Amino acid sequence: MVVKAFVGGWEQTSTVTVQCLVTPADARLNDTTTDFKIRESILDMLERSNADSSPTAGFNVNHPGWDGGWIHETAFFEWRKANGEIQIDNVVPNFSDACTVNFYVPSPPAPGDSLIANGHSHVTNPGDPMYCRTTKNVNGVDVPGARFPGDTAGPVVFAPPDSVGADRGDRSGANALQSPNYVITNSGLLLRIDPVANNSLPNPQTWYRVFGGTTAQRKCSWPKKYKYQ
Amino acid sequence: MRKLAILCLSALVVSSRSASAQNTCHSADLNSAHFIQGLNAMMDTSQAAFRAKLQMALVTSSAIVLASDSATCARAGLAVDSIAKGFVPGATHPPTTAPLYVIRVGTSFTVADLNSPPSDHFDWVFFFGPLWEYRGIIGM
Repeated sequence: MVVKAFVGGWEQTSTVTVQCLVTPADARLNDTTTDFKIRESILDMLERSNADSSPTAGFNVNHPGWDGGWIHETAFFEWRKANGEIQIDNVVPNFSDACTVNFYVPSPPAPGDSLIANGHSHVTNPGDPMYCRTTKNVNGVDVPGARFPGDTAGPVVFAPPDSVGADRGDRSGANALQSPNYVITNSGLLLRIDPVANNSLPNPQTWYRVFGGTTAQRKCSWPKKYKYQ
Repeated sequence: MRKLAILCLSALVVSSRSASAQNTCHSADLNSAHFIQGLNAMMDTSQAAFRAKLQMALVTSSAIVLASDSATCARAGLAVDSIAKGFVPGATHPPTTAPLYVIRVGTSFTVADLNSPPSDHFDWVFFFGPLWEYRGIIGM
């Protein structure tokens, strides 16, 4: 359900949306004071990842707005500034493909500002091929992954399900910066990984349905408020 | 303002000497080879802007080497443990004791803590200057 409220008479000066609150409760995802700003950034990550591209497109296919030319991961960092305002930095990766991501973590906007969340996208659907420049570890052996359809190396297939728990990179994103790390999947699942003291400990992990799923679950889908530019 | 925040973060890392982490150096393996390969790739001319973000000098491949001296790796542990406080003031992050991958890049350092099962995805790598001043973090 989305209800839009307009303030300001003929000239609209403020807009708020009413969305379902997630359960288990999450103060960041349910933050109405910013009009669910973090939800918008999480959804934008999929758009910036070219998540709607064909998984059969390799490195030799270009997409508008990204010179890499294939589905890839992106990231965001959310800050609470000293004056209470929220700032979200959407990260453009230095390099990324369907398998991995290489990006610079922005520093705090100002001294005293606090990182309250970070996140990245998992774009490949279970069972889809992943065309990547990196090698992949298959049964304990490093092998080159296919870069495009027809590559003699053969594609590495993303093993289902996509609701499998966080990997080391995901968990480290929470632990190293001591803030929750959100991972959005192409199928509409969102994983929140809470930080722990060090990487050897298990991280609390919580799943949310953001879009897709059953008819009942879709009633609480997050709306897209504007298209990413 | 962001530059000022980086300076404050650097100062926090440099001044952090209260923790008692005693990290050792991780020996060479597939992970260290991956990081060294990635750091060498960053020396490509196409990566100049990315290097600049990290204040990373252009060096030859012979200057990118895995550290093995205990003093350097213990210092790396202190530096890494300090970073969380820079991002989340008030965060309580107990010192890690895991062996660290510490790679010298010329006179600077990169550090990774991989104390958990392997992953093909990506890992977090911390960059420091010659005096262990914070320079940035990347996913690699």
